[in-house]
Amino acid sequence: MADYFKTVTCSLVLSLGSAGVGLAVAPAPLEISGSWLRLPPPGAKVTAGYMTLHNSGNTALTITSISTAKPAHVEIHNSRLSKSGQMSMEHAPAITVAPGTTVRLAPAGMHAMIFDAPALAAGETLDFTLELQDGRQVKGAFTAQRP
Amino acid sequence: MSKQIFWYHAPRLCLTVALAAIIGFLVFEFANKAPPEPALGNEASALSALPLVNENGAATSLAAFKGSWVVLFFGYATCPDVCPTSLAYLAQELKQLGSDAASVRGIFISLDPQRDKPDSLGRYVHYFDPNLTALTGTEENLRHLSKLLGVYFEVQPAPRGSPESAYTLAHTASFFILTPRGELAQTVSPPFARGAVAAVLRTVLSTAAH
Repeated sequence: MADYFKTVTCSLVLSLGSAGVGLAVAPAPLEISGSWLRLPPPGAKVTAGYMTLHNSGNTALTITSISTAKPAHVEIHNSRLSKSGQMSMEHAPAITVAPGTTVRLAPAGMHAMIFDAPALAAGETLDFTLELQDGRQVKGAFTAQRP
Repeated sequence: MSKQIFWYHAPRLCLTVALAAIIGFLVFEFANKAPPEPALGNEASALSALPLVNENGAATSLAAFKGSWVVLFFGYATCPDVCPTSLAYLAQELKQLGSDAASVRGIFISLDPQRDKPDSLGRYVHYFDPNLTALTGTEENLRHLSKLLGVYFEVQPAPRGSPESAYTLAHTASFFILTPRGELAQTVSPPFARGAVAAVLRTVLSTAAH
C-alpha cells in the first residue's frame, strides 16, 4: 500500500511538474519581423525602434513593456495625428495584438522610444525583450539603420 | 398707375424685391466667409522680416532665402519619431527633383530653442541632407512666425519618473512651401505619401516657369 501511495504521489508530482514546465516553456505565438531602430542623428539622445508583430495564436497577447540591454531605457509611445495636422506623442501603456492579427510599430505611429541608446553603427543590432502581460517574454533584435 | 395695374404687377414686384434681398444676403455672407488668403502682401513681408537665428548662431530671417522656393518644416531635434521621419522624407523628396532641387531650400525650424542650440541643429539637419538648413529663434519670434503660418506647438511635460528636461512638443507636422517672394504657396499635411511633396514642388516650379 505504501508503495502504491509512493507511486501515485511520484506520478502526481511528475505530471504536475511536467505540466508546470510545459506552461513555462510554451512560447508566446508572437512573431516579430522587420525590427529596426533609427540611428540617432547627431545630438539626439532618443530614438525610435519599429517592428511588425503577428499573433498566430487564439488569444490576445498584450505587451506591457519593452526592455533592452542597459543603459537604454525603452517606453512604448504613439505619435498621433490630429485632424488639423498636428502630431503629438503619448505614452501607450501597452500594445495588444488580437489573435490572428498584425500590429505595426512604424514611423509616425506606434513606436518603441529608446532613451540613451548605446552607440551603434549601421547594421549592428540591439537585443530587446518584449514582456507580456501573462509573464511570458519574446526576444528580438533591432537592426540599426540610417533614417 | 391705376389701382388695377398696381395689383396686377404687385406679385412680380414682391418677387423681384425678395430675390434681390436673397442675392444681397448671399453676396454679403460669401464676402464675409471667404477663406482667408494665404500669407500675401503685409503678411508675407512680416513672415520674411521676422528675426531668426541660423545654424552659425547669426541673426537672419526668411528674407535671406528670397529668390528660392522654400520648404519649411517645424519641429525639435530631440523628437524621436515624427521629425526624423519627416526630415528623412523631405531629403528623399528633394532628391527626386534632380537638378530642380537647386532652386528649392529645405529649412527645418526648431521650436525648442531652449534645448536646440544653433551648432547642434546644423549637425542635426545635415545628417539627413547636407543641403538642408536649420533655423531657430526666440520663443516670442517663433510664436509670431507660427501664428503667421498657422503652426501650432505646445510643450508636453515629461512623463512621471523622467527628468523635467525630457519634455516633448506637440506640433504641426506639415510642410509649408513658400514662393521665391516669401509668400505661402501651399501647405502639405501628413500623412505623406512617397513623392507627394516632390509632385507639389514640380507643379509649383513648372507653373512659375511659364
